[in-house]
Amino acid sequence: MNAKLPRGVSKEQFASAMNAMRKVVGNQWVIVDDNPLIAGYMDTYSAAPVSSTAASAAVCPASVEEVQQIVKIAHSHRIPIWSIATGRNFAYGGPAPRSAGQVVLDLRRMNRVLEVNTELGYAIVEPGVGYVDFYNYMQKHKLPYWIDCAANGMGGVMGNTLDHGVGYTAYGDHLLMQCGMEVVMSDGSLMRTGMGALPNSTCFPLYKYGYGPYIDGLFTQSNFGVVTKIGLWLMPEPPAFKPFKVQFESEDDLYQATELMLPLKINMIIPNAAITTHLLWEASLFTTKHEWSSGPGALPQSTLRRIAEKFDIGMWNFYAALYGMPEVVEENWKLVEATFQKIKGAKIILGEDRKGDPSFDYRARLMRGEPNLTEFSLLNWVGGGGHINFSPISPASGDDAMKQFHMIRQVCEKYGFDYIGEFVIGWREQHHILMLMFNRYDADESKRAHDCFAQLIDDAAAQGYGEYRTNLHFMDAIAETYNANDGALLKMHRRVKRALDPAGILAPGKNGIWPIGETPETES
Amino acid sequence: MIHRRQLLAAGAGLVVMTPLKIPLTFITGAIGSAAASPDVLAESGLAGSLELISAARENARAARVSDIDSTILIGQLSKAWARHPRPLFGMTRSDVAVLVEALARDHGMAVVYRGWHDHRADGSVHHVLHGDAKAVAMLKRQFNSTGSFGKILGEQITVLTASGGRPESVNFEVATGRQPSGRARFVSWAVAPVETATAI
Ligand SMILES: Cc1cc2nc3c(=O)[nH]c(=O)nc-3n(C[C@H](O)[C@H](O)[C@H](O)COP(=O)(O)OP(=O)(O)OC[C@H]3O[C@@H](n4cnc5c(N)ncnc54)[C@H](O)[C@@H]3O)c2cc1C
Repeated sequence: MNAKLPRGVSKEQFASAMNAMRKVVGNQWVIVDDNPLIAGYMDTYSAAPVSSTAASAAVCPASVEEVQQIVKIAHSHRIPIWSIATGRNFAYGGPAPRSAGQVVLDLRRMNRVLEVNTELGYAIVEPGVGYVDFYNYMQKHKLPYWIDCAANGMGGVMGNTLDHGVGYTAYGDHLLMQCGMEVVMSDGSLMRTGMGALPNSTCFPLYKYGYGPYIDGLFTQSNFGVVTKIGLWLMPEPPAFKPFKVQFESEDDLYQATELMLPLKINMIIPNAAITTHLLWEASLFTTKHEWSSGPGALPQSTLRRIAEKFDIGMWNFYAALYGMPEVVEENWKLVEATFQKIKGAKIILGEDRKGDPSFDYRARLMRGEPNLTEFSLLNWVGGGGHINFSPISPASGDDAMKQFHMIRQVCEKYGFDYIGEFVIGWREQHHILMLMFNRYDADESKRAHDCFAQLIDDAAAQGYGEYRTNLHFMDAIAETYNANDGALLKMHRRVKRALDPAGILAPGKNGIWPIGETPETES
Repeated sequence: MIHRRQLLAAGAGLVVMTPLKIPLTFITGAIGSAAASPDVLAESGLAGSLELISAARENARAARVSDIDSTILIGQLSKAWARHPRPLFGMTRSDVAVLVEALARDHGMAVVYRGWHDHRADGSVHHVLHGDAKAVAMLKRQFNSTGSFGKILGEQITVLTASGGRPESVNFEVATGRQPSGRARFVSWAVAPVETATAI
């Protein structure tokens, strides 16, 4: 008998729903909470208690038809279901649902690459296609395209895209490169967006906007449907690829580096999602905090300097790549070199200068879409597994980058944490990612991490900065910062929720969108 | 104008870096008899890893201390577990533990034991153990009576990789009286296949 139940659902109602679901997917694929496998759906790395997001069950359908039937059963039994694709949403909640008792709809068994079109350069994939699967597929079939993956090489194409994730090739803005979606709605009906709504259309993954309102975005970071297919555009393998790094001596160089980089980005000289990482992000590949300090609190500047010197890492480190015809790459390279040489002490580094350097190596691999797991070394900096990402958006300007950096570092230090951050550069903005690392076996440290995160949200909002994505436990807090015009946006989201999912069964609370009658307070 | 086909064709000539190889062949090796004796993996440089491996040899299918490249390890485990999921006990840094645990879910395996070990500057070791209630109580007793927790874990791998039982956490400190050599914080863990289809 299940110890946990979804809110407002009786034992009988739940048991009847589970039995009905078993008939659809088979006994083995309904995992209830006395089965040890259910622990695999927990978020064991956030700063809040694991029980607050522990699922009551997980159901693993193998086809779109099975998803439709499961959704219908959930609808008729009023069971809340939380969709995951590959379920590796590390730093943002992993595979866990928003609140205790929700049933995880685990789509990992739907893991086919349905089509790769080498003429038109697109693919259509199911939810469970992981980056490694996709990469292996392209290699096996010797297709002249690259995939684009997150630094979490265990993640997957669809889940990352639906959560607005990023990668590092020129196709690093995943949602921008997504075209066409198939969605199971809350009543079990099936819908295709854009050109896919036209029977027999061959343009489903080719033209995003179709006819009428463009709605794909509605099914991202939301709870309006269960996405069962997406189309995505693929980057042709370029004739030349030149990854490089620029190391900066001083933390203040972030200002000039950002100012100089922006024209290169806007003019697409640097076409990829380049990044500027702080010292400690890099250092965690080579050392741990304990090798430098046994006491509490953030490392002082003097120690940061010593680490920079010992491992030859910049206080900031810019990684990017040039892609295209060799002559064009070489011409553009002259411009890049001349630009960064303007910064005093900047060290420009190419692959051949850093053979065997794991940080250059994994970045170069990411910039050509080769999945790897090297970045997880970050978890060893403190040890103890705890990690949550605070991810505000910043204009790609020197002033804003410096302002956010100082603001975030100050709050981290107040709570005794190191600033471990990077800026991922989009088209005109930067995703500023703070990886807040803590020892989750230490209750005090976990609480401080939680409080630190909460203050960061408030301080950022007070300065007009908002986050692009967040961990389960802060979804409401962040939704509430987007409150211009008396919270008009969130009100609209909740109205759409009511219209598309009146029973409120799909991922209640995702990104602050609660069904009618439910609020964060009633849920907790 | 450059024709797209020209770009694609030229792209085929790019050099692809080959990943580093590490000797973890035992993970992908032949599957033994029906008895699921665990594989044991310890990361070099961690205090207690050598003792763990030598104590585990008797009961393990294979036991090895090694440098670990997490990308390669996870790649090898996914291939091996896709064919035949089997128990694995490890003593590693946090990243490897987190990744192996996540991979286990895909192969019908569960984390059946997790221990967190923190060497303090004063020479004590703080342990937080989570697993079968009886097993962790026994570990606590033994850790308290002798300092060599690597050896004790190695002797208990069969118990610790056997799933089932009511999970419980214990949290305690042991004074070792000596400074740790090697990394200060790391994890021991066990994942094992689980019989599914439990009815409510
Ligand atoms: C070391 C490290 C490095 C990381 N690097 C990056 C990085 O470079 N870029 C980046 O973006 N992130 C990164 N992350 C964060 C995260 O781990 C990745 O984004 C990862 O890809 C997300 O997990 P996933 O792909 O398995 O998605 P999932 O966990 O499957 O999905 C994510 C969320 O999307 C929604 N969802 C999934 N499937 C569906 C569906 N079918 N229908 C409706 N909603 C759905 C759900 O809310 C789900 O929780 C990193 C994290 C760590 C710890």
